[in-house]
Amino acid sequence: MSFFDFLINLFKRNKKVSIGLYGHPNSGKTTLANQIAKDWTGKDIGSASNIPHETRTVLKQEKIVIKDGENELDFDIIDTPGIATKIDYQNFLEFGLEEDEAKERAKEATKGIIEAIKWLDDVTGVLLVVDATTDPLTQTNITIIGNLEARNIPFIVVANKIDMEDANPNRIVSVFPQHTVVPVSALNGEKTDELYKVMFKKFN
Amino acid sequence: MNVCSKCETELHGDDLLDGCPNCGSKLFKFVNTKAIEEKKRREKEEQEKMEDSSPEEDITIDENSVESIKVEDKGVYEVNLLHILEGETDVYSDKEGNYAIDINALFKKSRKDEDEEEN
Repeated sequence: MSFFDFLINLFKRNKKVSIGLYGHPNSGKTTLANQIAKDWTGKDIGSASNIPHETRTVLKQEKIVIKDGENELDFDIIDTPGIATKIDYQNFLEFGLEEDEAKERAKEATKGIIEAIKWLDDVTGVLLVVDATTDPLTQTNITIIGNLEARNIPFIVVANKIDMEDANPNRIVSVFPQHTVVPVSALNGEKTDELYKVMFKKFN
Repeated sequence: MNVCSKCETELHGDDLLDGCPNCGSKLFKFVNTKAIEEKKRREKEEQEKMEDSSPEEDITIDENSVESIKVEDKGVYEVNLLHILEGETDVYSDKEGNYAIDINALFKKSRKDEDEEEN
């Protein structure tokens, strides 16, 4: 092995893998981040709720090591606020929030979207979390995927919420046939093993 | 159809003469069931339409327009994702067509661009 190869290997080994969780609000990013963190470190990253835009700042969990036999993937997980094209405080009122509180939430959510997108410069891989009970063909998903392709960032489409009765992960597969789609339930950890296997292949 | 105005029991045949078979009240009212069903059907249709259309479809911001974020109202924002993904978040607008430009950020960016060119 030449000195040059040695250097390349050294850098490869030290290359930090940062995996960002991106997707619509309420698609289950934080639930998935918590599931991964709980599986491999035993603790949660952030709090999840059914009110959209619960995560409004980027949350980071450093050094998660997942193992499968000889495979090992060492990465930081970056949980980002949900990306939307329209944020309307009135949508939060039905969850019992006061008007002022809802308006503040909308403002923070908008700031969160910009922060989430800025973090794309620092991630080396992305889990695009899609709610399998909704139509995946949205402007947000298409724009994010297009941008990830342009930036050459490897990504996995995670078809989440397969525990729900009206979930249709096959629709996501048929809409994004050229991309890797893994159906999971982040809530009860169903099929996350499959996801880890794909993560070894994609992000190592 | 006639119903008892007290307990809403449906009345048939001689009930109008004898009184409500349930509570004995002799106060009745006429309800147009067809109209009520039609109203319910329309409401349901409207609700389904609302559920089908995702909030993304209401966006008034144009992908090619100059602003990255449009403030429709206090607490209502529209985000031009394409702009922000390309690293531009320096122009803001409101629904009346007022624009705000973050000049400081623009200068910083142009300096960065120059640095990159030099390198």
